[in-house]
Amino acid sequence: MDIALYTLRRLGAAIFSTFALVALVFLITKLVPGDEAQVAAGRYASPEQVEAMRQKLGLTQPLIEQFFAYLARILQGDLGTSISTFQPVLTDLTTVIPATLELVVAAFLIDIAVAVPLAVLAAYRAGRPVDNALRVGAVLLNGIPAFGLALIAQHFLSEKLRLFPILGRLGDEFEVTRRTGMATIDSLLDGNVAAFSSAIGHLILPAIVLALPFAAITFRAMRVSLLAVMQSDFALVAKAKGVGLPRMVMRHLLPNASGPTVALLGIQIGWLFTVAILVENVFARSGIGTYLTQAVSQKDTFAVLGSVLFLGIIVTVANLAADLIIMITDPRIRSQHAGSADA
Amino acid sequence: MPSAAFVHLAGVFRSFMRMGIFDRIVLGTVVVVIVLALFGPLLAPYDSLRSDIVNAFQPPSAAHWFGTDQQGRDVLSRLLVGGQISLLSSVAIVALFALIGVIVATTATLGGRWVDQVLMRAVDVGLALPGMVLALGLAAALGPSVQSAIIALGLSGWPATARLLRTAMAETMAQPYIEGAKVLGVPKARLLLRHIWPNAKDVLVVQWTMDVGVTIVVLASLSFLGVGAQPPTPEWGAMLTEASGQIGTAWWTFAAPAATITVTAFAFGLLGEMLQMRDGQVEEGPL
Repeated sequence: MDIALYTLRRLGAAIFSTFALVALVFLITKLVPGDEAQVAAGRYASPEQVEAMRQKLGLTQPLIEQFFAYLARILQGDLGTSISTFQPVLTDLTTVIPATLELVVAAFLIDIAVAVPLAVLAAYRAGRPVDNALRVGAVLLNGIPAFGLALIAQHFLSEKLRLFPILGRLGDEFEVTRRTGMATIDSLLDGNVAAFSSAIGHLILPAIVLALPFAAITFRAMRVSLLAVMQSDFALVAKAKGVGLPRMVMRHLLPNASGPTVALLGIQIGWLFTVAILVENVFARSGIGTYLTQAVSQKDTFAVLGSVLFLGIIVTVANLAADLIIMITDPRIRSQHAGSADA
Repeated sequence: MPSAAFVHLAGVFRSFMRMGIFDRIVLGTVVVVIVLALFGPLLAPYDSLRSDIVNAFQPPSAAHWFGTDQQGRDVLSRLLVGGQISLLSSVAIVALFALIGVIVATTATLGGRWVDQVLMRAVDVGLALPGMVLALGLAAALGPSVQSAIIALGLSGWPATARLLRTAMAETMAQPYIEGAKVLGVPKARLLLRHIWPNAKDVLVVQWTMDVGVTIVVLASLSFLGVGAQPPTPEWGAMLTEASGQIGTAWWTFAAPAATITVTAFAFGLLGEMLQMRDGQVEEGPL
C-alpha cells in the first residue's frame, strides 16, 4: 500500500517533469532568431513550403494555442522533420538511440566494477600511500574534460599501441541483422562470435573513458561511507568475532555503506547520457550524440531540440527507475516515505 | 580605513603562512590562474589571432614557450588571451545562476507555504533535467557563440544553488534568535541581510568555488560540440577542439590547453574542498 502510494507520487513527479521539459523546449523554439517556419522548413525551402510549415506549426495562432498544439504533436510522437536527413526526427532518434544505450549501460557497469573494489581497498588502507594515490587520481580525473580524455586514450591506446579499434561500432567486414540496434546484442543474436568480439572491442574503450570520471565520484562517495560503517559498533563486534575479510566486506560493510552510493548512481545516469554525447563524437560511434552535433552544425534546429527533448525524457525515466529500485531495495527509505505520506 | 585594511591583509598573510604546503600550492595556483586570466592579454608575447603560416607547428622553444599551432599562432599567447574568455565566462555563468538561485531560495523562504511549495517543486524538476543537454539546445537555438553558451549555462545551473540555500535558510529560520529578531520587529530586509544570509553563505561559497571549476570544463565541452566559442576565438575548449587531430603530430597544441583546463579546474575543485574543511563542513578533505 505504502509502496503503491510512493510509486504513484514518484510517477506523478516524473510526468510533471516531462511536462516542464516540453514547456522549456517549446520556449527555446520561440527564442530561435529569425522566422521559425523558415528554420523548420530549412534554408533551401521554397516560399510555398515555408508557408505550409507556418500553417502546420500553427504559427499564426496565439502563443498558448501554439503550445498546446506543440504538446499534442509531441504526444503523437511528432518531433518535426529533420532538414538534413528529410526523415521524421523521431525515426532518426529511434535509429541512433540503441548505440548510445549500449555505451551508457557498459559505462555504468564499468563505473561500479571499478569504483567499489577500489573504495574497499582505499578504506582498508585509509591514510596510506595507496589510499592517497587513489584519492589524488580521483580528483584529477574530474578536472579533465571528458572529450580530452577520450582523445588522449584514442591516440595512445588505439592509434599508437593498437589495442583497440579507433572509430565506429563494428568492424567494416561484419554485417549483422539489425534487431535491437545494439551492435553487441545483434551480433550475439546472429550467433556471429567474430562480430560480437569486434563489437565488444569497439565498445570497451569508449565505455571505459565514459565511465572513469563517474567512477572517480562513485569511488569517493563509497570510500567515505565505508569508512563510517567500518567505525560502527556492529562492524567492531563482527571483527571481534573473527569474521573473515570477504564475508566482512560482502555481508557487513557493503550492504550498509551502499545507500548514498546507490542514490548517487541514480543521479549519474542522466550525466552519463550527457557525457556520452562527447565520447560518441570522439570515437565516431553513431548514436544520439553524433546525431545531435551533426544537427547543430547543419543548423537543423528542430532535430537538435527533438534530441534534447528525447534525451530529457530518457533521463527522467531513468531517474524514476532508479528511485523505485532504491525504494524496493532499501527498507529504510520505504518506511521513511510511508511516514511522510501519512503526515 | 587603510589601517584596518592592512590588519586584514596581515591576517590573510598569517593564515597563509599557517597553511600546510599542500594548501599553499592550491591557493597559489588559483591566485596565479586568476591573475593570468585577468592580465593575460597584456602579458601575451604575440598577437593571439595573427597567423604566420611559415612558422606553423613550431615545437616549444625559447621564442614560443608552448610552440605554435597550425596557423603559426603562438599557443602561449592564445592561452593567455583565452584565459579571460574561459575563466571570466565561467565566473559570469556561476554568478548568473547563483543570483537566480539566491532569488528563488529567498522568495521560497520568505514567501509563505504555497510559494515555497511551488518553487521547490520547480527546483526538483530543474535538478532532474539534464542541465547541460538543455543548455546545448538553448545555445544551438540562440546561435553558437560564447555569449549563447554563457546565457544557456547561466539559465540552467540555478536549481542546485536554490536547493542548497533553501536548506541552509530553513535551518537558520528554525533558530531561536530569528524568532527573537522577528518579535523585536526587525524588518524583513535587515533580517535577511544581517541574520539569515550570513549563516548560509559558507556552504554556498564552497559550492560556487567548485562550480567555477566544473563550469570551465562544461564550457569547453560546449565548444567541442560546436555550440560554444567558435574559431578563431582562443577559448580553451575551442583551442583543444581545433587541436584534436594533432595529438600525434603537434602534441603541444593539444597538451597546452588540455593541461591548462585540467590544472585550473583541479585547483578550483581543491580550493572548494579546502574551504569546506576550514568551515568544518566535513571531517576530512580530499587528500
